[in-house]
Amino acid sequence: MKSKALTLTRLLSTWLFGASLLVTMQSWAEDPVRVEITGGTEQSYPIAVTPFKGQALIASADYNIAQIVRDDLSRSGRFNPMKESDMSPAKVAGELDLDYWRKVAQDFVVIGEVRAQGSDMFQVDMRLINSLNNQELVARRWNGVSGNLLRTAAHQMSDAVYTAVTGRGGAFDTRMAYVRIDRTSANKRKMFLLEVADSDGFAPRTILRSYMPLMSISWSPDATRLAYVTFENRKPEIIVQSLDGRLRQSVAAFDGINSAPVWSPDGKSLLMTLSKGGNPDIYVMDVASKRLTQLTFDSAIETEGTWSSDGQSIYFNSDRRGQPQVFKADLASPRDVKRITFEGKYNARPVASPDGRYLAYVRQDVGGFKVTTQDLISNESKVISSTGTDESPSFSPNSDMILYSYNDYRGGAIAVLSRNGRAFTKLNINGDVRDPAWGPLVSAQ
Amino acid sequence: MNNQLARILLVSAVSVLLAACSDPPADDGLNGNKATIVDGMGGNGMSNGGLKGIDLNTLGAMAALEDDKNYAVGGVQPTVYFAYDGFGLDDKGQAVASHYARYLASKPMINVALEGHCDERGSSEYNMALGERRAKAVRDALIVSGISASRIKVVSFGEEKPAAEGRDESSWALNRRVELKFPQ
Repeated sequence: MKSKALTLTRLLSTWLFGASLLVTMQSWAEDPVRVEITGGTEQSYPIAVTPFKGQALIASADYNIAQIVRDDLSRSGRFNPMKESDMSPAKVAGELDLDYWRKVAQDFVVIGEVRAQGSDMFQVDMRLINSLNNQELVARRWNGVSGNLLRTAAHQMSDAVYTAVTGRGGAFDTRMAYVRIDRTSANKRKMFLLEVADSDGFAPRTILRSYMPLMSISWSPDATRLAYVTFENRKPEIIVQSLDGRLRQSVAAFDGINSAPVWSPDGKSLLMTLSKGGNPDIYVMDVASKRLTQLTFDSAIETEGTWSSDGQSIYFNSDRRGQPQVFKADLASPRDVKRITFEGKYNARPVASPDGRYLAYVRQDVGGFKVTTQDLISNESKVISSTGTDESPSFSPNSDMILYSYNDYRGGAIAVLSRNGRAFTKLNINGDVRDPAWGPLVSAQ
Repeated sequence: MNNQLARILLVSAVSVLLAACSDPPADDGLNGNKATIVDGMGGNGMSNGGLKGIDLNTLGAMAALEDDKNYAVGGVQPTVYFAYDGFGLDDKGQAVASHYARYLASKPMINVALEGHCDERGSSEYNMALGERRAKAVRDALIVSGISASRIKVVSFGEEKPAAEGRDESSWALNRRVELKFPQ
């Protein structure tokens, strides 16, 4: 029994860790030299990701490795990848000519090669070169990549480039969860699907279907479980479900609201909103014992609790001043509440960046509801979206991007914003989608 | 990706067909309400690391059917509407509450469920709380009219179950509501 469970856990890890486990990586470069960033963190780097030699060995256009890397880097807002159509075909086909890349103002060049290693199995090499000083920053090989993991390998290449150039961790080889509303059912009932996809919206997998709404997804920090809210018993209830489908448990089904679950950074507790005490307040539940501790006590609405990056404090939404605003309280002294947002009449759904530096939330201004960031050191806040119907912001694990949902003309859509708001990318996900949550980094063992 | 998408579409299509075929008649006791675990990824074991989907075609099916238990008495629609971001009853709302307080007073064996809803604007979780506030405002109106609190159940659906799907003020106005339901 136990070994079977272990096997399943292992299989789950294999999927979650993707190529981290299945693809062996080799680094044969000297220690890569990191590019020093002096002040100008707002610049975006010109980079030419050239088509990989041997790309034609891969049949599906969905696995164009260079394009996957370009798209990843673009979404971050930190890179400005050159379009393939702007590259000289002769230079792309021939030997690496750094003079040419310097001439077309590309500070960085990525070259690579795909080789067949048997049926639907590939070896992929990737090199990143600083064209200004001729230095090789990354030289890496992915061995034994099966066809369906080529996108994962490409995301790992993007992460390697991102880290080598910016000095910050990458977040492209990650997953996200979201809710999709399906109206195509033969019996005409709306169906709610809980789905997990790669960080660029590809490879969606459905892990739950329900006729009743689903919302407020939170990833456990080890990426093995999701907490979310379901109405399957005609009332809001908090469910914890393992991604392998082996465990599904209702952890909060008290009278009234059971909602807004958020996993603590150590994975041991869930923050949640319960109204069993008469009005919505925030509680923390020890997941193992189910023991609850109340953290807010005001008679107003307190909800949307979220953890500070160190797990010692919570940020939350309270309308104790009349309209939703973000407040902060330390777990050690929860009655000592500090107001965080002062600009804007409505600031809701806070989330702290994993690096602890920023808070993102949704602000109502003249243009509607917009993703806003606040620097927790300077306290300066900045509206960074222009969509106006924004909900559910969540940070990438490296804190550099924000995933959120909004309504466009045909329904709910999911987009990625660079933290400075300069790069906006609507993800290519079919259907009416909402409530995204960016999953944690899952490091290879 | 195309393969993966096709597989998911195929699985969804099969599920929909199954759902259509197994869609229970109203009187069969709905024993399919329990979640059943299936291989939701079409048997493609290795590529997804053995990830299992839970087939929940029937999950919430009974709850969805209960939507039909909404009925009007004396030609008065059992719904109270609210202003944007508001939770106070206007005169029309008060009239609906008084009408159904009289109905409930005349039917001591019947209980009432008050389901609070919001329009889609603003954050979903704040709207959950706002929906509960609206339902509680109607509950308070019923209690003032002499209905015992023990007969009243309050539940919020936030912005999750809109009555109208449009994205304009006329739809939003229909969605900011409390529905009175009378479970058997």
